[in-house]
Amino acid sequence: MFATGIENSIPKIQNGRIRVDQMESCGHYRHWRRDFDLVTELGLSYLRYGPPLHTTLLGPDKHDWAFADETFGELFDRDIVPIVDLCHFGVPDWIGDFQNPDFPDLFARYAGAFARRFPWVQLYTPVNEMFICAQFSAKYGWWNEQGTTDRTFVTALKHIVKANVLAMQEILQVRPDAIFIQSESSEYFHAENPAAIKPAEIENAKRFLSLDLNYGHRVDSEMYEYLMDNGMTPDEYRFFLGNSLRHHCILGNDYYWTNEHRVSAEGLTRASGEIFGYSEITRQYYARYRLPVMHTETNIAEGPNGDEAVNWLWKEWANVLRVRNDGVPTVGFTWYSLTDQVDWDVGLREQNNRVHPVGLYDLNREIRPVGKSYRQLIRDWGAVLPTQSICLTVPVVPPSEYGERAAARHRKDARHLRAVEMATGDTQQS
Amino acid sequence: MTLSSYSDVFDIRHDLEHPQDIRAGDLVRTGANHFPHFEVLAVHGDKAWVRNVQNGADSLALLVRCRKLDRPALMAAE
Repeated sequence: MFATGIENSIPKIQNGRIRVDQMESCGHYRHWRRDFDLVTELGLSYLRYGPPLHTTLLGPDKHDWAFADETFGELFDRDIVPIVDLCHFGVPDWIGDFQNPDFPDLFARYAGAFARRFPWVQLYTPVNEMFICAQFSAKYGWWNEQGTTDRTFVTALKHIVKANVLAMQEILQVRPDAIFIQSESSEYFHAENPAAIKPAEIENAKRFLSLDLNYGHRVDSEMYEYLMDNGMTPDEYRFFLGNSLRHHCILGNDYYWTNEHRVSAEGLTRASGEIFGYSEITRQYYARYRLPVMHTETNIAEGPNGDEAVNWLWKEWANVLRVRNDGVPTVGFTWYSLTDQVDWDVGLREQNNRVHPVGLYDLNREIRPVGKSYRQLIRDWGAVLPTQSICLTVPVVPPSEYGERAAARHRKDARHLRAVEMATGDTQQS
Repeated sequence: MTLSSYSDVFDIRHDLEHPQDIRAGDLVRTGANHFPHFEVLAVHGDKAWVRNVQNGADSLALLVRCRKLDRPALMAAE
């Protein structure tokens, strides 16, 4: 699965005064038909995409589906398979922020409503980059609640991951063969010196928290203490252990130049640049979760030489191939995003209207060198990943085949398996 | 020894067929696309010292890749 995505971040910044809306900033609301044309021109069949949560979910069980109806209708007609990104770094104003304990239920009901409205959609990323969402909103103080303590971080994290799990459950009721592709930041923390080893180990344990909870993977004792000391209850923790849906999941992971960090003896972190790279870090995540992997986000800005992003694309692709050839079941690659972004150079913390030239196309929808490269890479390598094993392929049903008998039979089988899962009690809500 | 570029793998050419006369003070881009934009601080040999107008980062660029921007039109557009 080769993919790209439409950047749809919607955090609130500056103490809630400003709503960031990347689809607005990048011109998607005006150019969405052209954007879908570009996806096809690249030779892509998969698109990370989602309706703007803040203007679609107007209140509890109250929706405005107008934009989603138009755009998803078009995706269906074009037979583009969306990987639906339902929550990308923000919530509607009436929910407030990720400290709201009602967020998981409200979001899960929204996910179910979306799945009922668009039953042909099979692939989902219910909540994008859960760890980053919690960290930037509730530990770094950048977005939404702008929290800066471990308690606000753990509160946001447990709400975000519970929302993701409950959303998966709701979606599976409608589409029992749904496949969930997490898009989570894959990170590593390097100790600057021997005195920094312990703080780095703690950060390297924390980086797994969102996926540990999401997949029902037991955390280590230090992280258990950390979670309990900062507001999670044993019952809340047991919810995650008892509601794992990992067998419906692909581990989607993201890698950027800023994903690796150096840690000082005082526990302060700074960007280290690329030291290990995607392949080494992905092996660590795979060793922990043993799930099929997809590289779901990467990019770098075009610079003065003109080929910086081209070289980055090649290097990331080489890393994906390495991981695949080392025996990790690797199912896809994504350059994120289709077009340039705005203000990501400052992590969306400010509204400067600065173009971040990381797209396959610029904001005039003119192709960049990296877009030409990606198009060629897809032509050259498109058949390689799927043939790693003919026996192990992702059972994606394209929109055009949703109504066919084989697809209906597949869903019936999946519904039966889901009923067995529920009956055995593995996924009973506590 | 310099690092090779993978642009040749994808058959991408960055250089202008007909290089422009670039001088200090010019506003340029180093590719065919909208952004990044650079201010030329100095020119020497085949290179220009350029400053990214959005983030202030300095770097060297090949003159043969620099394309002049229409500064008044850009300012009017902003």
